[in-house]
Amino acid sequence: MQTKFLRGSLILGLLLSLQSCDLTYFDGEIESFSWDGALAAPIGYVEYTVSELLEDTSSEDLEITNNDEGVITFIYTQVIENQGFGDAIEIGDQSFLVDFELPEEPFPLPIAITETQEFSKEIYLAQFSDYNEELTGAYFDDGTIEITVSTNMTSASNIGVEIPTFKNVLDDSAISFSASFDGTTNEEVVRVFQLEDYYGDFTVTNSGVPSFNTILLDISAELIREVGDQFGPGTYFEFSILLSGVQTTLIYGDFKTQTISVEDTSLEFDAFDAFGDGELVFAEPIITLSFDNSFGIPMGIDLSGLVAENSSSSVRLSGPITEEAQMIDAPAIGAEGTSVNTVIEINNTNSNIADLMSSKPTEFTMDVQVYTNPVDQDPNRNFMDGSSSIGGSVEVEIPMAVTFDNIPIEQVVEFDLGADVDIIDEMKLNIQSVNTMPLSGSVEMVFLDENENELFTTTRVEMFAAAPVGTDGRSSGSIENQAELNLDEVQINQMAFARSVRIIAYLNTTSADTGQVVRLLDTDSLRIDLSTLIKFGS
Amino acid sequence: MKKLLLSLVFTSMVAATYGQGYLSFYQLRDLVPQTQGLNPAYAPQNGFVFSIPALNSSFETTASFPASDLLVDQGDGRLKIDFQNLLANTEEENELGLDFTSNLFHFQVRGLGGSLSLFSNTRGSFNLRYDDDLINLLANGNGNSIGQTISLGEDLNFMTYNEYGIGYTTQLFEEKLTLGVRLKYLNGQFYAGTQEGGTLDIYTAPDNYNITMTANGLGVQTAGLDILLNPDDYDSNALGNYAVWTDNTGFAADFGATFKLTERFTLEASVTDIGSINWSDMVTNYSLNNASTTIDGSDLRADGDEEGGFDEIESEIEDFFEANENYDEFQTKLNMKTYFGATYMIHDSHRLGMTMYNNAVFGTFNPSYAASYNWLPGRKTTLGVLASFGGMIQEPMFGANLATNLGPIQFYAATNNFLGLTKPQEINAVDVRFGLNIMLGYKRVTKTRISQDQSQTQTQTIN
Repeated sequence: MQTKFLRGSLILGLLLSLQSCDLTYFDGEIESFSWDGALAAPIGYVEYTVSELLEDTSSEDLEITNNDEGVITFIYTQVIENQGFGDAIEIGDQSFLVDFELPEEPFPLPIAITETQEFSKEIYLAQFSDYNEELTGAYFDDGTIEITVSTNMTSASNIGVEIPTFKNVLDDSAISFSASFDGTTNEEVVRVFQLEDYYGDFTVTNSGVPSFNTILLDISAELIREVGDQFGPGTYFEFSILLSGVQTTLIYGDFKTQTISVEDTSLEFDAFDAFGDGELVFAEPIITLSFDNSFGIPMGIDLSGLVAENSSSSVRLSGPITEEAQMIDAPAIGAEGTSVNTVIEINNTNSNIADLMSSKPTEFTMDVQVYTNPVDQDPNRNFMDGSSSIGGSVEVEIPMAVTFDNIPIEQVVEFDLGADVDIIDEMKLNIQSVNTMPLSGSVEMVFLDENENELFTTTRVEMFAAAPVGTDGRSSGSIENQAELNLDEVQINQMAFARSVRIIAYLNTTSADTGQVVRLLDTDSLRIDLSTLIKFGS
Repeated sequence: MKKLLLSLVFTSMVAATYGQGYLSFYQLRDLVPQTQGLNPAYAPQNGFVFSIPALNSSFETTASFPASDLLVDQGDGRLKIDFQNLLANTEEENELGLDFTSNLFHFQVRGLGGSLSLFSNTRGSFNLRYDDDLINLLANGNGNSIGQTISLGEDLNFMTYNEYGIGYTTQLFEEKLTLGVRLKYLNGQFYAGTQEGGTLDIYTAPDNYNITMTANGLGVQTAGLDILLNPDDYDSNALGNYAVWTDNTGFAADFGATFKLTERFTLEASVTDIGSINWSDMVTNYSLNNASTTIDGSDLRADGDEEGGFDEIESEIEDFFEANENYDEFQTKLNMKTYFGATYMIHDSHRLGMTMYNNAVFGTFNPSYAASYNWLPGRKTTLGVLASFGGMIQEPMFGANLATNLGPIQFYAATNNFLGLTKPQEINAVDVRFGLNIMLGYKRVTKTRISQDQSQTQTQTIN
């Protein structure tokens, strides 16, 4: 009995002890998990060649290439629109009056007689705009020559008129015509010729000695005189010649040395827009002017009117290249319809072009003077036609032989942390760079909200150091750099609202403070590895 | 979430792999038939024993940390998941284990000069060996280990299987020597285990935080996991059928002995779970190439057509962890357990004992020890206490055990850590074993023998 009681008690005790298992500790509310560890991880890397670095910050019109020496070169090209000189090839309306008075005969003719008299007359063209051109020939596509012959003779006559200046383009025959008068008082004959059927040779003269601007008329008059006819005083033949509406397709001559009005050309230049206010020195810039001239007129151009301008200053081109007109060659007679290319290089040896470029111009204005026949050949053998023009291009070539002193370049990149930043206590951005460019960069970042309002700006950190350079200014090795950027809790919280980041890099070339010119090579590169250490907390 | 968390924590605390495995239950000796799983020489004196299915279970958990190290009381009743606190209490090498045994049936009769038993159990174990690098990584991330190599060489072993066995116990040399043996056929269900010696090194470079991962011999062998984790991919009853019977076969043996040096002084020893399972059914093995990769971030300038950003990093990681698969069968050994002990009867109803236990998980020898006292007020009842120390948990624990009958029904229960009942959050390990058996035909075999469990001399049959 006692044993059974003991057994029952033990079982009861066992059940009670199992029942007494106390799990109340686990009844407590478990706080939301917060982790106070830290994660270190790479974010990523960017690799830039020099050209890529500059491409991302320069204008679309800028071509970045490398020259024969492998130096990164900015190429900025703008076309100079072709310009013709339309007015210069017009021959204005003009008229000439040629009188031939017949010699007076004091008595009536006793017999009938037929007499032929011949006359030659040279008349001279004028009104080639304001020039003193000496025209030697022309082809026409419009215009007329109108010849009016009138006489007051009282006896019959036949006249023949030939103008050897104007020859038919098909058969080389001169303009000619004949007319008969029956002796009726004040008779008149009018002949009109379309000039497009002819070409003009203004060298033909009565003497056979070539001249210019000359229209030669050969006239023969057959006088048919009856018995008793008598010429009184004032008997004449009158020839009126009217040139009107003349348009030439091709004109030859000596156009003399004249100043041609050329429209001002403005070359907008936004290559430096991204370079801000820092000091920028280009050592070897070149402007290449390339002209294509299809006028048969050599020209000279005065480049002293080339000015580099920005919002606050302007620098005029000076130096040997501006002291005399630069020649623009022309096609010779026989090469009509073709053009000749002339290249004029403005460089450091003939100008102050480096000063122009280093002023970080936003625009080049070319208020230049162009002269015809800058070297007078007397006579000059020029020509021009309706399609003659002069045009070409301006190429600004800026090899990156430079000194950058605190030149800012910037980029705006989208940014959206897309995460709950409340749990972040500290954030360190670790920046490691390997650089073979002779360029250092200190960087600051401006975090912007969705309206591009500034949230905060980080401190500026030396993100990458400039590689050493040799005496030739080229990079002579690589340099590694380590930097870090610490963001405090306030900045981290503001990052939650950031939607973009404006990254501003201030570039300095190696030893910029001493004016050292460095050469940026296409082989120069920069690699930046970004990583972060984030400390989490409650 | 809370339930899941608590389950995990509790699971990590409860069940006796590395720890002081079932040392308290061991003290019940031949009063409880299930102790034969610890020492086959323990055979109940009853002529017939039948366990009640599903009502004989045991579990043991061992963890290097108590729950309160991870779930820290904030003083106001709220709990905080605190990896830092866990790290502060973490040793260089740590272990976490779970073991369970569910006795499907145990049938035992006396005969053939001894005691013959037939039994079946479903057994399972989960063992994880991890070092403080892992906890440091969880607590601090890699941010506090910059410039150092975090070496993750964790060993994991998860296995469940059914065992079907026959046991025989006999007494020799005038009952001074008792020998027991159990032979078991094993049918493996689920397995997942890491390849031995595999490591994953994680190095964070101090200058750019590039993360270099180096895999050496990383591999995982699995069996049955796919059907376990993706049962919907199979027929509706496929998982059930698989759990009952598979082609994963093995054999194991348990050996035990006791030897009475004197009437009161007895030596005991056993080695159990000597055997292996050959896994050939539903096998998938994964292995990583011995390779190294460095995560150095992505190309931040990649345009839309190129892979960049986190996609590139994700791709690199995926490539690194892209495992080779094969379906080759493999063999795993069971975790062999060893018990050595001695008892001394200072009075007919008072027994003192000393026991050593080792579980060779991952081939380790890290024994634990127990000093016990059992009061034996009757033939069928014992109540004991014990103090244990050693194993992975180098802290003393105090447990108790009980076995008694009400009629033919035997109740038993044992735990090695009584504190687990009152402050479960503060214990690292606990084992609990309990069950009900039907015990019939208690009969003395010899006329005059001082039983280990009772000093009375009896010849009659008692129900």
